[in-house]
Amino acid sequence: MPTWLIWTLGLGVPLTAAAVPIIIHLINLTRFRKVDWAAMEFLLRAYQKTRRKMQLESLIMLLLRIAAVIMIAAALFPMGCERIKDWADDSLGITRGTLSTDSPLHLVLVLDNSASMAYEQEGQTSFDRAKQYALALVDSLEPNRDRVTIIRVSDVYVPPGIGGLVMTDEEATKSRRRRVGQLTSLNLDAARREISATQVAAVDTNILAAFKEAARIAETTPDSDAVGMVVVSDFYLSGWGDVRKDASGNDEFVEVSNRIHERLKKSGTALTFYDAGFDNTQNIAITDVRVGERIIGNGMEANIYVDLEYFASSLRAESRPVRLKYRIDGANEKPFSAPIDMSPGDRRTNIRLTLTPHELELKEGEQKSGASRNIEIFTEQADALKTDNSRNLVIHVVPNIPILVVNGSPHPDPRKDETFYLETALGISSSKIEGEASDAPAVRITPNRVITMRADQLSSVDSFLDYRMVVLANVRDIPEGVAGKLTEFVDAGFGLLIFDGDQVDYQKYNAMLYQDGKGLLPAKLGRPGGTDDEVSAKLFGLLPEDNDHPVIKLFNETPENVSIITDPKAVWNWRTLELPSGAEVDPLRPTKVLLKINNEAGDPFMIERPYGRGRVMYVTTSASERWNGLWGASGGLPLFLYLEVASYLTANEARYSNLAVGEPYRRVLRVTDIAPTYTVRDPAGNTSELVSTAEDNLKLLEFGGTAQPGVFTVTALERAEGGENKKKWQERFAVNLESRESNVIKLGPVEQADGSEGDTRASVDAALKEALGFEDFLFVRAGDELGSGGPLGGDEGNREWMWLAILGVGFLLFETIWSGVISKPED
Amino acid sequence: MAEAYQKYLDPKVLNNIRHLEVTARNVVEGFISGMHRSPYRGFSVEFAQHREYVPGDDLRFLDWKAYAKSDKYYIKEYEEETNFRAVIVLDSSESMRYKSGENQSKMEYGKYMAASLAYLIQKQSDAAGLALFDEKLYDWVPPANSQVTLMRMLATMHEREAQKKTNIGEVLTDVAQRTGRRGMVMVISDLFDDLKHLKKGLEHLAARKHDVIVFNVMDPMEREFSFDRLTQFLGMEGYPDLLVDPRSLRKAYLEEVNQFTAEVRRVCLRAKADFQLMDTSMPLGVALQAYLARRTGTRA
Repeated sequence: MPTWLIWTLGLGVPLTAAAVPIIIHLINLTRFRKVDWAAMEFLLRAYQKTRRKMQLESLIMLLLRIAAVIMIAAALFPMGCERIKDWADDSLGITRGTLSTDSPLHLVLVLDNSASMAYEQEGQTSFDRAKQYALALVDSLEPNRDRVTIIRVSDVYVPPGIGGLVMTDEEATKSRRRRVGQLTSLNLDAARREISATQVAAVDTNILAAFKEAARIAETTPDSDAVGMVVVSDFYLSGWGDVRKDASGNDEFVEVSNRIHERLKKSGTALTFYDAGFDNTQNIAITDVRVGERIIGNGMEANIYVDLEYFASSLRAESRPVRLKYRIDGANEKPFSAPIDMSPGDRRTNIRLTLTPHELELKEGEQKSGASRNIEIFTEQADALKTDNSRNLVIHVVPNIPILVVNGSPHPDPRKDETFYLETALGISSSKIEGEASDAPAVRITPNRVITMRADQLSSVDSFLDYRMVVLANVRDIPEGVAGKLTEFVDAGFGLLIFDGDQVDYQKYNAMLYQDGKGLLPAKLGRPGGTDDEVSAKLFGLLPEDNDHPVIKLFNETPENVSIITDPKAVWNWRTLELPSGAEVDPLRPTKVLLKINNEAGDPFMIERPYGRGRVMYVTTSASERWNGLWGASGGLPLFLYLEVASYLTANEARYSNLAVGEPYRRVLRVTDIAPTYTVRDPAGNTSELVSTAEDNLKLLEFGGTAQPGVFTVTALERAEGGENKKKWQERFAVNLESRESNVIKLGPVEQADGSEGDTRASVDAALKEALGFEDFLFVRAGDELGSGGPLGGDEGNREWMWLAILGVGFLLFETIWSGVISKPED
Repeated sequence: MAEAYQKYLDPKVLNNIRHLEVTARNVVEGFISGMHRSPYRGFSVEFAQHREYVPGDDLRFLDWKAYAKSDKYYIKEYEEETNFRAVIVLDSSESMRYKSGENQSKMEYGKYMAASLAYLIQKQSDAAGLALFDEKLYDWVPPANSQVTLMRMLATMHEREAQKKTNIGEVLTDVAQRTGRRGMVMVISDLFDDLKHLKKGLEHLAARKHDVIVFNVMDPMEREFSFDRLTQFLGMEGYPDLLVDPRSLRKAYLEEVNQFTAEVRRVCLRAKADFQLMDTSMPLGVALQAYLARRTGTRA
């Protein structure tokens, strides 16, 4: 809308409205009937008597008409009046009078298209309101002079070229953080097109990144041009909490905002925030779905855990029963749980669904390569934010997981054999104890298939890529060729577990595998730190160093589990380590101590280091009872611990089965996986081709276009006889919304408790002032004129005004009919 | 002429008043044939002219001698067929032109009323005359009991349009002078004039011993003033126009009208004249019947 039109409307409409009663009055004076009158003498005398009274009545009537029009205008057309005013003055924040007439305006429009903008109320989403407002803003600019840059705060990062860049986890995470899309210097038509085409992006808000981009754009705009900046968002805590006064990102936000502020001041414009969100929000969300087992073997149960949370702007919102359901691969839905009573603020975690082996069992044709299962979890009833009412989970069911155990010290006596216990633990296959009478079928516990070889056979292995995990137990040294193959194996995304022992030549290990921090070993090995005298040895417990680590987490869940770790153990010898320091430290792949021995020196017990796409774990003691008595007297620690480790290290592939929106999918292609053509089908059914890439002799498939939640399908196609494509293999992965977008509670000042009652507008305004550090910005809220808490004093006030408006309309109608304005004059 | 006759002698109206007597409140001079009480009983009448007989004429007035001579029927007309002379004084000033809605104008209504009264009077062998006036008396039909007089009265009324101002005082004085003998004067007017003039005129008539009936003709709208929206009233008879919301003025106006009517009634009473307020929405016959019945009752 052109500026002149805004001003014309802004001033013209109120003036016209005020003139209406005067016009009616004048019409009344001109539209009268004429009558020849005989009894004029009586009339004149009556007139003389009542003239003063009549003049007073006429004046009162005029005033009543004006009052009626004002009431109607105030109550029924506030949107028009207020918003025109806002558009002209507040919203755009541009006082054109301060600019030279021909100054081009560069409007930087920060448009929040995060998932929470899909919140729907009365048939309209926050994003609908945001787009309406944004389009109105663009309409207010002058064509062929002004221009617009649109910054979308929630664009999904898509690597250039499908299947193009190969990224590490860290790079991928970094790229996901930078979810800001920009469309620079658009003409008004292009801006309208882009705004109209923008969709809610199903990812979270990145306000800080958006402001950084806005600052850069504002500062690179020539001084001869004016800059205006409008931020259109829902101002929910989900995104704006990152830059609140008490948030870690606030310092940077203040710095960036002040730069923008300074540039806008030069233009005579003000930073403007437009709140397109709703008040009184309520959202019950499935915030997370995960499977207890990292990888499922055929015949295993799978435990699925669901987290449910009730976000509500008011803690007085009504409680609701929520019933969860699920379906597997689109089959009939089944009830998941009994109704769960949720009150505002409630958070229920680990709601468990156990899928039976029968439900997941591999079918004919899937026995060889395994298959994926899509589990859709959803609430029985949808609410205002539909995107988080369901989540997908893809589980890979495999026939088995091949694990290579390299025995560095075989012995005919199982209790002295280096890997007897370990092989038994890793390969434990059934929960049914042999000899125990039970009708229940045996349930497989692990998917592992353990293959053992002696250390001297290592050199004969062509490639470790046929395994998912390799265990080196008390292996003296690593031949050169083997080290390379192991490096390739780990780099491809698989796991290496190394146990120490009396056979280990630590200097050769350091030379071949540590390589001053550049090799596979997480730390430089030293001499043994304990004793060989198991009789006089002290007992030490273990101390977890990273309680959130997937391997350690199990041991924190209950006090009993904690005691398994911390109770004194019979560990009498272990390897001392030198953790990487100085130049040896790789900041992107740091070595972590997961467990340490509770001795005075705090020597490490178990450490880990990411390497390439895989991981290496090192245990400073032996896998057998050569240096410790863990298998015999430690509450089952080795069994649980090493099963967790194996599960962790072998589940690397499964990591890419369940992704957040924007997180890239990736798969290492084994020789047998390679195919001429790969395709990916998104949840909407669109299929595109994937191109494999090669890096360090590894074939990889990567896909970054995970812009929407749902299930994606990757298919490898090979040429069949006759030239037609035939499916070689297929796998699925699920993409889910990030859970924090479910939090639809409005931003408030630090001192204000979340979910507290009060004026939302004032609350957001105060929080922005607090976060920005300056107050001369403008805050406009959609629905102020009609919604609660607006300038009319909230719902109650609005209702009163509405009644007044109805009275006003009634009065005008009655008065108009009564005075005969609508009828024709008669002669 | 035939048109005027038919127009003003509505058979329905005449039917309603046919059997009613026009009674005088006071004893009038002269000879009255029929039921009229007269101090001049047995007084002869003068022959005026012959005319051909037309069906409906009273056979008593056939001139048998003329029939014997000419073999034709002639009716003998006399200068005075009765000693009761009634003059109908009809206001034709501009204010009488007013009408509202579907009602007749006061002028039209007055003409009907005059014609009906004249016919009734002649039907009873009394003499009826007409005086038309505005500022002055400009048409005068002397009272007579003849078809010719009636036709002349009707024709005079038919040709007359309401115009000019009212000056009822002078007119009634003039009428009093023209009607030499005691008789009846019936004034049909809206009386929109200075009441001093009316009073003066009535006093002149009273001085001549005339029996006077004042029919105050008004339009319903003039009595009710039920206008509902802004109106410009265009003054008649030289009054200025007035643009006004009638709703706010109605009460005061009705007070003025009621005050005027009461004053007229008082003036008539003092001049020993009868006063009857007539509404142009009322059926003419009903109005006359009601009035004459009341007069008869008073006489008894």
